[in-house]
Amino acid sequence: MYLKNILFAKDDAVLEQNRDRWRNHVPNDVKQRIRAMILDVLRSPQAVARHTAGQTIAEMGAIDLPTLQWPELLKSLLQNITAETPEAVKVSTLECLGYMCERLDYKGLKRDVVNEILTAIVDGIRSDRAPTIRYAAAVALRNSLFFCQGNMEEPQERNMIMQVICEATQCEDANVRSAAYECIVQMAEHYYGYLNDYMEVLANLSFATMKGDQEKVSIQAIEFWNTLCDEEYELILELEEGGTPQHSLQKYVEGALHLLCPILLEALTKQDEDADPDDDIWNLAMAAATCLTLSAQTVENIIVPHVMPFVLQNIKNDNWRFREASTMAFTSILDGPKTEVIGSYVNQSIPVLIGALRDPHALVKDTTAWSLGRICELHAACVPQEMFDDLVKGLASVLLSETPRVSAQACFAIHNLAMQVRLSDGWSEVTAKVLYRLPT
Amino acid sequence: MGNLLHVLMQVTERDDWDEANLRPSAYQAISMLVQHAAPDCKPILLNLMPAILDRLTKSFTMNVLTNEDKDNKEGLQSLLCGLVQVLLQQMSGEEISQQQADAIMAALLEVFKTKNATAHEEAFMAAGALSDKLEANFERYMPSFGPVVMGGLRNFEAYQVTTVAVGVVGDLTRALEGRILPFCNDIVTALLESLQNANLNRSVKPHVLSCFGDIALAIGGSYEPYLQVTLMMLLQASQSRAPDDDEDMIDYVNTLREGILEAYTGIIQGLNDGKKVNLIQPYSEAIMGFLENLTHDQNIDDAVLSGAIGVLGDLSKCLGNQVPNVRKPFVQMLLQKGHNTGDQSTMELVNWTNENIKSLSF
Repeated sequence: MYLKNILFAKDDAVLEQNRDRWRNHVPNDVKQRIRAMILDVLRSPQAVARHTAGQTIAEMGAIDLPTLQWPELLKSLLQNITAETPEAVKVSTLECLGYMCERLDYKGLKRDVVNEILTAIVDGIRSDRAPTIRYAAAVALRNSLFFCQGNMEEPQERNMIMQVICEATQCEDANVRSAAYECIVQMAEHYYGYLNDYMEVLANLSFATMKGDQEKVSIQAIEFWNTLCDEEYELILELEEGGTPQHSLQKYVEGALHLLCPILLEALTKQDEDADPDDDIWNLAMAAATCLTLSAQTVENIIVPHVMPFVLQNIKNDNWRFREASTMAFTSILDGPKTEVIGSYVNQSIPVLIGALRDPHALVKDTTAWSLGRICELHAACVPQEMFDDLVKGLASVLLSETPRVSAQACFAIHNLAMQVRLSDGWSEVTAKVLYRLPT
Repeated sequence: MGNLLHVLMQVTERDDWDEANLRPSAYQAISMLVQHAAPDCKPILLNLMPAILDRLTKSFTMNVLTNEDKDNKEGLQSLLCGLVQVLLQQMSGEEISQQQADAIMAALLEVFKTKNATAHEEAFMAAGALSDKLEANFERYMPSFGPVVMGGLRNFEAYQVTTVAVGVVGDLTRALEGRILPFCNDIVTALLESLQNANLNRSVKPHVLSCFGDIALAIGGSYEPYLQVTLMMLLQASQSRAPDDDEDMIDYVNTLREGILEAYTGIIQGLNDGKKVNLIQPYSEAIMGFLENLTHDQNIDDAVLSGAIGVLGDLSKCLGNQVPNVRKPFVQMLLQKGHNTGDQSTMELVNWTNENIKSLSF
């Protein structure tokens, strides 16, 4: 541990200094003895010793691998994984690799070094391995994927990597499944251009997971679609600005909308009633709302027919979960579709939403106030003039009587409404009304 | 006062104001309502000011026992100073009685006594807004406010405060005009110090440079003692270049150049007003050289382009036939580039500058 701390530092400058000391100021024979010794400790029966050795090797490897100073390292690690070693040693070795990938300065890393790392990891993730090993391997793979460009360019290697990841999404252990989806997210982020051959499989796997797996795994599967949205949104922006993007736009999100939207809408009804929104704890319904929001920004108008039937059908449902879910779904697609397409729905929604500010369920009130805030921000012109008094009265009525969250959302709505007021478009009397007459 | 503002004011005093970001949300809503208030809401705004000042005054005696108390107090003061600023922007000079102006300044000066960068920023902006409304009448606050501005200019640790303080100097030059003269020695010294301070965030520099122009415009011929040293700074800053592939640096150098050009315009016009424009003559060749470099630089943006054309126009108008190199090809190229922007105000500037150049006899 002491050795690791000598080499490690949070601050980049200090880190570089420490690494330089190891590279240039420690005699080679001393280095060799330390290296051999610490590789031995990684095979120790003591869990704490293995763990510490793993971290130390990772720090040392992060320094020595780019400069090819420690040729035995990867061979030794690979052997730990492939030879007849105890399961725990394999886990510690893969954890060490994962940590090392995180710490490596990957630029200028030699291709065969990357190959050796990948071989060891891919061997660890094999489906006949124990879940603990597969989990450590999947985490290591997630940390290494972004510097595997060379391997991803080769169809055969790419197929193999994809195959082991997809297999891992079917593992009986939820941690492995979740880590596998984190790998898929990395794929979408770094290798969008290579996804075409795998998209159908990935879509089907992720949909099944979103529908039926444990929450933390489902959230990772949703994150895959969020990442696709991010990538495609960037590509669309670049195309609009007349640029030539690195990949061609495949419109995966648009193509999958008819399957994706129903699953997300279903997920929206799985709210966690006791979740404290200030706690930063992510749940399935929040993840689904985020995914819907990103999808709407990416595909714009065409999302509307996939979502509005659900909204119209459920916004007055007896079950609060459906009322909240439909309000959240509607709010999520406000940004993206053009006013011509979403405007009439906004126009009709105002009286319903004003009424829902008095909903018996706290979460519905909260989401309703948020929804009105977003409407005032994005589509204020669609608020019918004759509803204006009622809208402001409704917002004002929750300011003092409701929870701080609802009240703050109402403040946000009033702020946005005031911001949209433009003297030029006939709204000049609006603030006067707002300021003088309300609440009566 | 049964209206929405009143309710929002009550929201900020709810027992649970510290949850869900409620208090800032409510003050932001108030601020936006004030900023976009219709003209017939004026009486309400005039009533709001004393209420806000009252709260600001009360905040000075708030008990501070924990760090959280301290953050809350400072947060509240920032929000209230921000509101004082937006309220002032909605008022005319006549609507601010001397008594009220005194009360505002007293409260703001009290805010400056605590060490709190964020509230200082807001308080500086509020004071700037007040000077904008009171114009020459703001002079009565200078004995107490002047040292505060100097403190802000020298607050190199919190560069946002420095930036705002530089902005306030600009406000003061416009409000006080020649009456700012007694403070100019100190101000210019502080500005020069900030330029030479290696630790100061670079984003402050363009503001400082352009501030020289504001000062020159305000004091006219009295700018003479500062001319040489400030022009040296400007010429030195003119040397900055950005590598073609560094967009952040390109943006920064462009803002820097904008600041430099604003300074030149202010200084030339100020000296011209003070009938001392011939003092600029020894530097005119270097300035023209700067304009020539800008003309050939592919990375300048429209603001720099229009600033450069403005300086060219100022020089030819004020120096007449003494402008050096005005027949060099870059001059017409610069004007052509301005014309090509298609931007209305830039094209007007091109025409004006062109007239000035044409009227030169050879």
